[in-house]
Amino acid sequence: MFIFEKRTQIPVNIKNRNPKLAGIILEQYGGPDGEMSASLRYLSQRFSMKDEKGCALLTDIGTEELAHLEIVGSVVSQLTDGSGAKEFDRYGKADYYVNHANAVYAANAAGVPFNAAYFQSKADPIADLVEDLAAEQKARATYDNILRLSDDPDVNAVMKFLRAREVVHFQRFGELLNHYQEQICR
Amino acid sequence: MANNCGCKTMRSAYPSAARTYEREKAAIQSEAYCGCVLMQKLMTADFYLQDLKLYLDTHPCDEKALCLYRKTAKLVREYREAFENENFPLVETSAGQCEHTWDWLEGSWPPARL
Repeated sequence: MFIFEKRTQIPVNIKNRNPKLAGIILEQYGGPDGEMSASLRYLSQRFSMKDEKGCALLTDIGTEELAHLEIVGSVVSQLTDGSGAKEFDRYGKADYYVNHANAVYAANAAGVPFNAAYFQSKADPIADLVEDLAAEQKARATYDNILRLSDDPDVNAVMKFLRAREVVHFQRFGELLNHYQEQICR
Repeated sequence: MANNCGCKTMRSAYPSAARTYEREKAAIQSEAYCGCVLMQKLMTADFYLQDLKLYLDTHPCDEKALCLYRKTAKLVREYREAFENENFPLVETSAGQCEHTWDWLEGSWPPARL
């Protein structure tokens, strides 16, 4: 089951307001390679993992991705904290505002709502893990793009942390894939 | 001093980690840390724990990692308890300490700045 602790994994303290940057960061909230996609992918795949190693790793990484989802949502929320209609309009985000005001909604930067078609769950450890490896690289690449677009130091500090975690998750999934491949070969 | 984590090889395997634990425990008990510092230390230690946890999921027999995990878990509990005693409950099992008000409502809910 899930237990909530009343803090974020790392401090999130964004001093500036920027609805335009918030729209870009939203890509990692409700986008195809974002934290919602990652957490639901892993937390779904874990049900069909063949052994405890697989269940544990998928559950633990999935849980961490939920914590990251919370961080991304907090960044988006802080970037639009107190921003009104005129400010959204000035930054070219009137079409987000009209639907959501300054709420956090599960869509990507282009406004496409979140979709379960972004991930798979196939009860095949090779298929599932190779997808997970790809997912971590896609997430890492998206964070690279965000870092190229953003020059807010508070936001970038958070993005660099999240990007580094994707690299570590990639490493762990690789180890689990090796483990299953060795089992199949025996 | 007795083995803090029940692991007999602790001192020889990771002497600096053992010293860190003892030093931090003493600092917490002497109330050397304010709420902000405790939260920062909790975040750092718990992140270390999380990373060790993922490593142990794929390397379940790594004794050094197991030893470090046990030590770090104790430290996380100490920091969390010290923070909660002076600030607000972080987990549900720590809530309900106030006689007349529901203290779970207190503190920084996301997206509050920490």
